[in-house]
Amino acid sequence: MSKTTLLGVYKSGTQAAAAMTAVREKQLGVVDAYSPTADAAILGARPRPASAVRLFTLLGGIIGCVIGVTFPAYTMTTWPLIVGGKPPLSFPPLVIIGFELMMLGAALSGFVGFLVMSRLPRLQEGSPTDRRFTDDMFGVLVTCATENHAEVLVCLERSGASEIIDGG
Amino acid sequence: MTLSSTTDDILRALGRPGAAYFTALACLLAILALGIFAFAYQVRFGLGVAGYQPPILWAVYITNFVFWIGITHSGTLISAVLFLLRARWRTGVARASEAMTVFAIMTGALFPIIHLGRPWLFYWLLPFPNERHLWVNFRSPIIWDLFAILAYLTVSIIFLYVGLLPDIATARDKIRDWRRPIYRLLSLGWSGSDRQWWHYNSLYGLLAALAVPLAVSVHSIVSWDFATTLLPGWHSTIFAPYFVAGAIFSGVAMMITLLIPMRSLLGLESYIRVHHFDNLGKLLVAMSLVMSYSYGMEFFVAWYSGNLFEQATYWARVTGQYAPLTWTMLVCNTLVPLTLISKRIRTHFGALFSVAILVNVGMWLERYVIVVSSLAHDFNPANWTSTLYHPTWVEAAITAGSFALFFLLFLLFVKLFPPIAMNEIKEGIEAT
Repeated sequence: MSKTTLLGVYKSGTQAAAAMTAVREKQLGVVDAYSPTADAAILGARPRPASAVRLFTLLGGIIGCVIGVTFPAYTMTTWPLIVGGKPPLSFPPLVIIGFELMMLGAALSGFVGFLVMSRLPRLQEGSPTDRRFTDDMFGVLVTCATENHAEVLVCLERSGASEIIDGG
Repeated sequence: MTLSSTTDDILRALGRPGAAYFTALACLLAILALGIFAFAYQVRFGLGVAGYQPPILWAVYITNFVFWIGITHSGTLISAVLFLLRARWRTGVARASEAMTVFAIMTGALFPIIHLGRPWLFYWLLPFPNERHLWVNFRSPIIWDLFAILAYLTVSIIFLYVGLLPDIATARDKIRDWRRPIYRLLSLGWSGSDRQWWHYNSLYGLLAALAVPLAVSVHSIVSWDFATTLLPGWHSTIFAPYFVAGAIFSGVAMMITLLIPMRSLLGLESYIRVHHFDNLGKLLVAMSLVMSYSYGMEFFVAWYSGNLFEQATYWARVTGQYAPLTWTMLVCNTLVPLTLISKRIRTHFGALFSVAILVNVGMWLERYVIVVSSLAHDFNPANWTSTLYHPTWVEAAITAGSFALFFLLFLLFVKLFPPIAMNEIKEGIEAT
């Protein structure tokens, strides 16, 4: 089955969301949307499960916390010197270092998770898709079977596309 | 205001700078060069060129360290807290405050190193075993500082960068000069797809939620550098919240100090508007009241404790050698901000700017008074009248250099990267 792509260009996120919904409801193809902002209508038009970035963040936080507690504890017990009258294995520093490394681990891991889930970086691409989508326009890219081409075109037009680019 | 005009207006701020910008840059570079020279002089001739004399062995450098780490707090407060509270007015000022946070941490983190007698050995703070297989002392608050500041710096850079990512992509697609390869590299190929925005929203919210407790912990830990000692004037349980409140107070003042010139220098009057300053002014006066309460509590606890050394230290603070600085600090931090109760002053840029400058001065003096006057009035009465610490030209030059470094980094930032979160402004336009 041969595939084709159609790119609808819209002036508002609401129009783009309507196009996404129309194509999705008729199951005409795979839809991707592009926008210069986190548009609520577009994000609402395609329900997604909760972002896995949260899981990355949680795991990073747990790993950071474990390292932040066990590593100082290891160093304290390796050569147990009493300094300043405090016990060699002193609890408060473990809480502090554990907390700081938990935050650090969570942030770093969340960022890595964001890159992985967003499929970034894509350094070979200068400005993907269309430069207007980082400025003032919204895009709906539909990848569909050739026989659905006409029907997708109608969906995009009816949603108020100001321009439709046929990728062939 | 449309999406397109927003892009054009904000990217116009990145255009070729005028004479005022270059003049400011040249002045800051000159002051920074003086600071670097003074530091080189100190490295060459030793820490004796600073005005240290027993018992005052912590002074201006530690004052600067605490001051700059305090400045970082408004970035988190304005950007992260207001984001979590869904306060829409943050969009005009969030980017500048996040950048301010990063540059203030970078500046502040230099001072513990400058304060070292042998600064080239600063890496001894890092946790690795020496030749006797001894590790760093994790029970020392100085090590806590290292971990806290490095964690805070890293998280703040990630927070700033993630917020910038969509705007760097816009700059990549609109700007056609030598900066384009930089934007292309830093934008990571961002296309604004719904997948990217979905995960972006999730990460940004999480980073905001992480940044707030982290910021509170960092200044609490800085306060424990003092509070975990037994010195009168330092050994206090209220130091952590007191330092956090002071940090937010000084950070908001610095934010105002930066934003007022920035909006006119970059022509951003439509985006950083009077109501932003009105809100920042309200925040400043609210934090001033918290500070007034904290100052009152410090003196009350010293009196009510019945501890003679505590009482003597606080009495000396308001009547002794450092009394002029203490009273200046109290006036700047408790009385001057009260003028902001008047809306007319909050919305008058000249008046608000003056108040913010005075608060900056007052907060620097507060750190100075805490550090120096407490050390000058330790447990040994022989020290009480014999020493009056004066900063030397080396300390003054390094301090001036730190201010120059901070403002220089900020000036460069606002001409290289969009100083206002375009994507958030556009989100607001789309929502309405």
